[in-house]
Amino acid sequence: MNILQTLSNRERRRVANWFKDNTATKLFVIFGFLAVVFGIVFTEYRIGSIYLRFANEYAPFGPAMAVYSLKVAVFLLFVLAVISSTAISNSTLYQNRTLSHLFTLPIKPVSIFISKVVPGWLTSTGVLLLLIPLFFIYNKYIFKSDYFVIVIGFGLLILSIVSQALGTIFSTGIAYFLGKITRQKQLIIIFSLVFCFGILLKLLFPSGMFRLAETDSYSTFQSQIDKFPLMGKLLPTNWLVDSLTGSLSLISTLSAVLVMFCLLAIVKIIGSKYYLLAWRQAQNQSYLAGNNLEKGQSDFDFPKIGKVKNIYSPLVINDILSLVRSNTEVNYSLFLGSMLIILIFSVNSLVILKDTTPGLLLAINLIAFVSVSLIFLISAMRSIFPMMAKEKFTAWFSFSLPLSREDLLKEKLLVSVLLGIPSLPVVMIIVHGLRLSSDKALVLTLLMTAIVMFINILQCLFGSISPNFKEAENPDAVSTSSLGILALMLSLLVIAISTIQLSNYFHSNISGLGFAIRWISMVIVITTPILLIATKSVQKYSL
Amino acid sequence: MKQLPAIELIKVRKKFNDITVVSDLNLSVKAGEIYALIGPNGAGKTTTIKMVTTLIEPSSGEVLILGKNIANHPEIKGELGYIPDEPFVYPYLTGKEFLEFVGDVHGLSREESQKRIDSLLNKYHLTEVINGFFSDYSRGNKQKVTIIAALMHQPKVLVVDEPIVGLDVESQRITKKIFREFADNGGAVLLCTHTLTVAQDIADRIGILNQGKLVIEGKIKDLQHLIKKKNADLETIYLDILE
Repeated sequence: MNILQTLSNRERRRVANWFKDNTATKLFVIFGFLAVVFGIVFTEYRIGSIYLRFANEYAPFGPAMAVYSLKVAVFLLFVLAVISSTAISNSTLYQNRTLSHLFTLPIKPVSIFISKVVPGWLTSTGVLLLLIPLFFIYNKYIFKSDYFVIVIGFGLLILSIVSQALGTIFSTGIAYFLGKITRQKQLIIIFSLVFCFGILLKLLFPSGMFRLAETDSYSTFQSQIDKFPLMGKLLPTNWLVDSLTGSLSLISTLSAVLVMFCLLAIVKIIGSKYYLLAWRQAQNQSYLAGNNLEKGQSDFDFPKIGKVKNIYSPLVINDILSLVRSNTEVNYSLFLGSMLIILIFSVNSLVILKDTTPGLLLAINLIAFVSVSLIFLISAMRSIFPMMAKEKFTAWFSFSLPLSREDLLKEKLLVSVLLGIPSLPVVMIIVHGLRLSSDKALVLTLLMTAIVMFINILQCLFGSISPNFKEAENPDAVSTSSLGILALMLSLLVIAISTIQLSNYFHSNISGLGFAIRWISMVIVITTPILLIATKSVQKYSL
Repeated sequence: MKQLPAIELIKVRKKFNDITVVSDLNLSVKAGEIYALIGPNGAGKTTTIKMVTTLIEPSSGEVLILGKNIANHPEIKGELGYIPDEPFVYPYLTGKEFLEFVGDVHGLSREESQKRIDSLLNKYHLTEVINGFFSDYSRGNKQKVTIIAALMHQPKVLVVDEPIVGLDVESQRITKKIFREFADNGGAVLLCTHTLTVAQDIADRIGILNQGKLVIEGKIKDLQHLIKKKNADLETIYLDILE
């Protein structure tokens, strides 16, 4: 048996065994995920059909715009595929504990590298498969290509390999050149991401785009579109679209294949010569004994016990420190933070169009509300739901303190509320961007902040009912337990009800006071039984 | 002809930014010898072990295994067995699957793997739990599985970081016996530990590492002679020298 077979067998067994534990919950999560994917594909197909049929009726302008839209879609999904493969490769280099075992074995680093590349390649392929419905609709309504299946299959294969290769090059480069990610480096990365996002927005919405509607002549229209950055002949992602929209060229196809092989050659060199070095750089200082706090990590002093008036304070600070000093948690927060920045940019870009499209502002308000709620829900699932489960490691200490178990629950609830406070400035910036009247802005700000706090409390209570102490080391696994799924469903229900109520308020169907009374009633009805159950449950922990 | 050391560190230095963790370390372990590296926390023991196993690259100097620089000859890892301080965990592999995986990596046939696994499992009385998930094992059982994994392919060099933490008394005795037999059959063992009794019981030579430097090394009798206490135990020697 060769070494790659051995490594893949181990991976296959690991996945198969993973299913044996809590199978029902895992199947539920997988079906839920597949349902979401199906929903995305279905929506994409429906909206794409309407758009492309509509575009086809306005020939020759419509089909020209459709080709541009396809190029934008391919480019965007390609960028997304590169980002996801970079993220997966990076998490392997920075967090995967199996590497420290595998590198001590007589296995060539390139074999380990290949075995770790596959999950990233599958993910980027999955992202790119979302293009199929769009191409299918284009082929159906606008231009029927004789080579549709071959070009799609071959094209997506090349794109997925290229995106994975680029992701691998980026992630290995990050680990090799940046090494262990410190706070300063994290800030540099986040600013770079925001900068790249700004460039992406410029590419997607070039200044000439808003002048297209005023153009009567098709030749002028086409020449204006041709000037858009994403129409560049040399842009690799355009090769696929051009091949499907009538200009299949042998030279450009060969160029695409050549680019792919060049990248694969670079990846092969990285795998054999730089992968182990990059991993070592990423782990640098991890083995250093003693105080290894980097600058900026120790600036949050633990209060002197003598000065503390109540026993909660050190526990609260300890819980917060365990989050803010963990690189994994900070990276996760930065990722969510960058999503919030993108949301702020998007809201500000879309609000400009509110005068041209009636009803758009309401939709933007609701989308902003739902987006903020979902981003903070993801954060709460990651950091607040597993908080009680993580007590496993310090149970010897915390459960022997002169505190009742209810007190410990109260302390966790306090932390949940405190962790919701940073949402307030974010919410204020987003609401400011929406340019609402002062009363509506106030209601939206209060509601967004309140829902973040409420979601945090819900996650904390559910996480305390039956904490998954067994998976305490792995917060994601804790959140995807049966109770985690239940907490997620309930949180989504709360967001949905709140969105409907908010829509009614914006339509003036209910007053601000009526809205507040209904919302607070909902909170009381939902929280009371869960609080009672959680209070009872903490008594039954056996650690 | 002079026999090459099985493990040799030549002027090995490791710096993490401005902190020198290991400083110009020269150390050698012969075939048939157990060498114990002891020292306070942060002395550089684990860093040394991780440099020998290639998990950390030395800032300068060379690590030779059976006369070959391990950085340039990764195939020499086939002659190396490593027992880490934290028993390694593949959460969703059973202990048996993990051991089979290690056997496959070392190119053992399934029958050969099975034979060696069974023989080592019997020594540790692990047969009952070996089909459970690794993540469900106690720390001691995880440690036993990593010891078996390190010995399965019959390496010539064994590198051990904290060998007996979490092991029950009987397993400690068995482990010490296994290491002794390994050395008596021509293997070389480099182990670092805080458990001085282990070092005293089984090590042929002992080195004391402090602040990244090898302060002293030798047989226990040499060390006793050095501090002029004829029957001093290793704890006394250690404290005396570090003072």
